[in-house]
Amino acid sequence: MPGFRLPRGGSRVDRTRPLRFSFDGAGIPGFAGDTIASALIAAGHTTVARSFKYHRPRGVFSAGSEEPSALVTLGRRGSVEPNAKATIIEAANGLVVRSQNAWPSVEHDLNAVNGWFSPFIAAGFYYKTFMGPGRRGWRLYEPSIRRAAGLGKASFAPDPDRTERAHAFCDVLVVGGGPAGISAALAAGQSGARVILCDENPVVGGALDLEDAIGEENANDWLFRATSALNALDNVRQLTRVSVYGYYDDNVLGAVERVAPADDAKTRQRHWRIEAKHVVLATGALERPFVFPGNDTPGVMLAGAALAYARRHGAAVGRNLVVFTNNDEGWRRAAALARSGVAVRAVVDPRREAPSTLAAELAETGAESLPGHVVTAISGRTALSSIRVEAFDLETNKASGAARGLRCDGLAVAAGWNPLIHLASQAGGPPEYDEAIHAFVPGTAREKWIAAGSMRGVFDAAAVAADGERAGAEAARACGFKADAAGKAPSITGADNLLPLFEIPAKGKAFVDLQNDVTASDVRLAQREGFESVEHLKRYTTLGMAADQGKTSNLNGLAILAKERGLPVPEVGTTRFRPPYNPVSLGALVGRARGAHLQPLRRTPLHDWHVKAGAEMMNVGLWQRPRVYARPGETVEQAYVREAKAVRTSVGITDVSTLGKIDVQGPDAATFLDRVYTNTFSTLPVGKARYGLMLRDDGFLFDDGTTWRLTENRYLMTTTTANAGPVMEHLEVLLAIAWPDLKVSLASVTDQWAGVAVAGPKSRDLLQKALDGIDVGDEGLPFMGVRTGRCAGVEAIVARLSFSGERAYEVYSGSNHALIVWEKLLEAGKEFSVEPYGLEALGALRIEKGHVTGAEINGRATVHDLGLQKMFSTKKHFVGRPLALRPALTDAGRKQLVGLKSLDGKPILGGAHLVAGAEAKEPGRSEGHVTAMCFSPRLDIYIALALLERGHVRHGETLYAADPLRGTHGPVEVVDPCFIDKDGSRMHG
Amino acid sequence: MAEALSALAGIAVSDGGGRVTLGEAPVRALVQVQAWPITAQAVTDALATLPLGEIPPIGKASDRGSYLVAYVAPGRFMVTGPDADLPTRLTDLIPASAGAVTDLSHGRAILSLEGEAAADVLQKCVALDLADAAFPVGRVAATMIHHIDVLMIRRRRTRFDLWVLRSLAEALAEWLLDAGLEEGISFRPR
Repeated sequence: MPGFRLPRGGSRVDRTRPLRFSFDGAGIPGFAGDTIASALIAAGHTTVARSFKYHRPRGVFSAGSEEPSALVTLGRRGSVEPNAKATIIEAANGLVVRSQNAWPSVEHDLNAVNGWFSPFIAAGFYYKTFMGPGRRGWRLYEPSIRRAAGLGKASFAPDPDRTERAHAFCDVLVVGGGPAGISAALAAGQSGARVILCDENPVVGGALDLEDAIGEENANDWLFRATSALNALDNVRQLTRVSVYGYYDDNVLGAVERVAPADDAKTRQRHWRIEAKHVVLATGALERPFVFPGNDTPGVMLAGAALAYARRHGAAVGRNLVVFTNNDEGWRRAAALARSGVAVRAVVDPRREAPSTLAAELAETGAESLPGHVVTAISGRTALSSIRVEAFDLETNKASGAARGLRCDGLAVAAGWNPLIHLASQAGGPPEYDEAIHAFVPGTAREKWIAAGSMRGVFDAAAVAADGERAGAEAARACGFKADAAGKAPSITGADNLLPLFEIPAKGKAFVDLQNDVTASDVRLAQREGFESVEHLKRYTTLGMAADQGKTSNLNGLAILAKERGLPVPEVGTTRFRPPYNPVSLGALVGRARGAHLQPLRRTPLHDWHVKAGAEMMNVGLWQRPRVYARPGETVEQAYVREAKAVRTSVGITDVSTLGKIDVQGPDAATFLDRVYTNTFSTLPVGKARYGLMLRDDGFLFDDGTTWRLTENRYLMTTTTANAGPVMEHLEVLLAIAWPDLKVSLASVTDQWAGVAVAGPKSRDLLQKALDGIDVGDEGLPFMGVRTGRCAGVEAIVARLSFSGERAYEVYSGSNHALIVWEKLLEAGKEFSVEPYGLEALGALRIEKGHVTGAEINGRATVHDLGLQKMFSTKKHFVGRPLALRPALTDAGRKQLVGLKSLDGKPILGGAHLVAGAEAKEPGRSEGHVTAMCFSPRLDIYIALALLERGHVRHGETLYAADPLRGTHGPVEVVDPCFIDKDGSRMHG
Repeated sequence: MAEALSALAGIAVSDGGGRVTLGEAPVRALVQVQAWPITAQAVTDALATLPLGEIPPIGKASDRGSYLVAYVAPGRFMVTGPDADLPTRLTDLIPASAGAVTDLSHGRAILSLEGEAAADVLQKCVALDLADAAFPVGRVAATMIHHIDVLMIRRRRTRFDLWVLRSLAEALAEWLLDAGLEEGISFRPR
């Protein structure tokens, strides 16, 4: 149990606010400001996780979002969040934390037997083993393999937590709140620019708290001074706990905020979409580890992380550390650790000589210097107990074999720096390798960004701050603000005398990618098998493909591959970076658009009435419309048959407000309509309506509707519900681009007018009672006539139109008055037993009459197919005409509209195919399909409409409606699509 | 005068504190006036003869008393006012050769978001910069909130009007009331 809480210290914790959370059921003490990782370390936990494939024990490796090992599952039921990084999750009272991928416990995991099979389950094993028998074999093995490996489990329960989305705008966005970012934000902010400063951590400062000085000034003093100045600027907005994950076109960036834990916090995460005129990328650099045998043992961690836990959280990672490094900064960190109260017994360094002043400083703490040595082995499985150190020959690059054991409970590794170039690479050219620091730095910029600080390879703290100031000023100037030139950009001067040693040659399992369990030998195996390119290496071994995206492993894997191929690293190249930088939950992308808010609900003016009346509502696009008004005990079919019968025998009313309505006005309105419809509208008299068909440019039917001429220059066009928007767009495009000289104005009035269809033999009688100022007699309001008057004291337009095939009218009134009109119609209709009817009845009525809807106007049907060729004008030109005349579109063999009668008393399923074969097993080819079906209230049988090859000449044939998916195959008779009242006498009166 | 049913009749009054309030500005008359490209000036001149206030430049709205004129697209003016016969007066004023007048009094609802946190709540919903300098008082923009087209007008520093299709008014109000939960939003029909 190596870790413990230091008696003092911890810049991020508040020791006056203790808390307690559970880890695998055990209570863990902590303070406000602790992360799960820092609290677990302080409480002495070593093993906190099990690895993906081999189920090896793992401990905390880092102190940030680059963490590969310490993944935990948070929360319970719907709030469960798997694969959360213990190193960034802030501890909160009562938080439930569980380990992953281990059974029965993370200390004793039975699946660790997987490790015994490791020679057989190296990288890409599933391409070479578990083959057969036949193709089915894989289906047997795959589920077991998946179960044996893996990380956290997600929940299928509804997530009760709230995630918000927000937009933010600024002149300069600074990504990263370390010394470079703070300096950039200050420089830009002081010029008057609107600045947003983002940082992943709960406070700004970055890695400055791991330094003692910045130039001549004490690091803490500098930080205090700089943040005070920042806080005083109203035009600088600091967003902490915000991780910028993606850099997109036009300087748009995506970020996710982990909202600070608070007892009453309603919101858990917030997604930010940020638009910046200019961006300063100051994202810093990550420490990288060595690759050596046993380097995944709990107790091995990054040196900067060990120091961070001591300084930020007052948590010592062990009582007896060894630092293993190849650069001067590693020595400084060793001394800093010792001063923080974490005992360091030795520093191991492959370089021939120790840096003299640093070694002397270290000797004062009692630690031993071991230059010219490397660590070649680890003892301890669930916790580090000792290491083996050997002399290292730089010439031969080999360990000498003369070994020493060192007892220790922690090994802090510091093998160099990887600038965090992800966002720069997402928004720019490929990364470039810099020999001076043996790492990749940003390439060219494609979007408007400037790189600053250690993310571009500048490492000295004072130089980093100066670089940030320069970048911030440059960004502000690019936005048009006056900001003084702050000197030349500091050049990259190297990385603390780094020796470019990535891997220690020694026997044993050495891990490159800890999260996906990829070893150094896996990398060499891939190269031997021909997967030589870095893109193939990645995909074959899965190196860098886990939730940490290879932040601590990519470059090491590249270096090993380069060595195998005998090439310098830059020639081997690197994979490109794609968003997101850190995993983004789907909830963050969805925000509040879930459940009832998935889509906005579009309501007719009578919506509440339908709902109160007990109608079953159904979704039609964004709208909701009543399906049936079922009485207690009625099935849907019984309800719509009753409603439709009421219409055919007496009168019914239905809400048709959802139909698209377009106000078409102007001196050229008539000309315009003639051009967009297949038939003529310029000849339509004022006070009359006409049914019209519209084609697409390619000659197929687009939409149908009636258009009413209200005045000389004013028409009211109706469209189908679904095509209201598309028709409006179609017309606007024509006016804007094809015919800009036409004086035509368009306005969507779908919402302006509520529409009620009043249909049935008693419809005229009902309206006579309900309307004022309109003569609804056959002479006053003939078939297809339009008149204005009043209903219940409000303005109404009444047209005599019929979709149902009965005598029928449509009453339009202003939407705010819809309810009064509807109630008046019901009242006036009481003596005629008026019934409200829904979509199903509407459908049954129109099917009986063979009137087409979007089910038949399906994008592949032509005017001729649907038997409407009389409406295809031969006297004028119109949109779609030329291509509609193509031989293939008028061919007699096409699918044409027919009616079907069920011959076996069973329903004909919509979508069923029409075939000649009587047996379901041998149906023969499909000759057409069913577009709509219902139980016919008039004929008392099941009927349907269908599109059938050469349908116009096949009336009387018997075919079969085949639906093998739903298991029906019933005989049907092909008939005329108009089942009743062929001469239309009921409509025309 | 027959009773007009508000599109927001189904939303309950609520009190969420005082930082932002959602309400409805009842529409007595809302009219679209569309000029043809070469007649835009003639229509502007005709509108100027009415007591509507100054006719604004494109992308802006200006109000005087209870009238508001917004110039929303080339040749397209939207006018609101308190008199129910405004559509008729405008139809009489503007000849068919100059432009088209369409009554939209029933077709649109006007939602009003007011309070010190109004811009913050709205900034969660729209991808337009709502800072005072970027979206000053009087600016008009056609934008989208949760798949719903809205015409947004900044009436005051702390008040935004949202013009929306009547059929989507309740859905928009529901969305805004949810978006404003963190700030503390109240609903008060005017």
